[in-house]
Amino acid sequence: MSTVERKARKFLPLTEATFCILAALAEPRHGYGIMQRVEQASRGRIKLGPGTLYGALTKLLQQDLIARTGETEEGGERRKLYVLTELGREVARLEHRRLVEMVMVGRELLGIEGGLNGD
Amino acid sequence: MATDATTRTVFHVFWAWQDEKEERWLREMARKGWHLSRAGVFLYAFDRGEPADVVYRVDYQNLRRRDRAEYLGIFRAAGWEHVSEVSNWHFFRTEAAAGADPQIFSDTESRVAMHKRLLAVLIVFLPILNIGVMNLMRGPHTGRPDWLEGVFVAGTVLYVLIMLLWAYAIVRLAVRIRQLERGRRS
Repeated sequence: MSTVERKARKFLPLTEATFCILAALAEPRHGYGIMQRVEQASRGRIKLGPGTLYGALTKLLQQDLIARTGETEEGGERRKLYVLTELGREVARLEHRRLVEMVMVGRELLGIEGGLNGD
Repeated sequence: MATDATTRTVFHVFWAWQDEKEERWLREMARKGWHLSRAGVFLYAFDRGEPADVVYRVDYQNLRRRDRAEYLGIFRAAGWEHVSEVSNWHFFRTEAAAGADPQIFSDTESRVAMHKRLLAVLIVFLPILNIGVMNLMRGPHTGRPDWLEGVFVAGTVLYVLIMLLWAYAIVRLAVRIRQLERGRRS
């Protein structure tokens, strides 16, 4: 196991919001961009509150899972851009794998096939 | 108070563990046509306007100056107006759509995290208050005129009361955090 992976494992499991924020930061985005992208990808199910988002960004910066990468300016509004660090990318990858494993366990034990369309 | 007044100042105590009660109170004031313009430690200023259903939310954040624009920008983009702030409490509001109950926290973990930020500050300041009281009590008690002795006694009593209230706030906040973690809201 690599050092990064060993370090990354300590952050698992993530909360739903934290996982979504990290996943959205596979590419550089600003705060509001994260909210929109997560809402879109979850088909409107996950709406991050601004308090939740700001709190998570502050914490993820401290934990060195994300980093600031400049600013954008849209309509006179300056917004900071965030992106995953190497460690953050590893945390997101490991959490994704953990979730996939859980889905596989569910398929096997509950006998549920396929995606979400049948629900 | 004249009925045609356009502003109004209200004495109000915001207990740190009653954030939801605070939010309900501000919403109630807005329904009566009094819209918050400035929150203070004990005095809240309101502007007279049309009665409206406005949702208020409070967040506790010790912002560094350089993070301020980013913080306010994220709330603004999400549809929240920053109305006022006092001792690291930030007051936000948004128009309530019928039947909706907009939140600034979308999960329990982040709501708990806000309360823990506040709790950490209260705990850090408790020993500092303590040292103040001890210094007051330890001072030389002989040779002071009676009136000065009276002032010292009154000051000490006041200090002790504040400290007790402070400790009480810590306990209430800790209880609130436990309730939130168990999924109950006030």
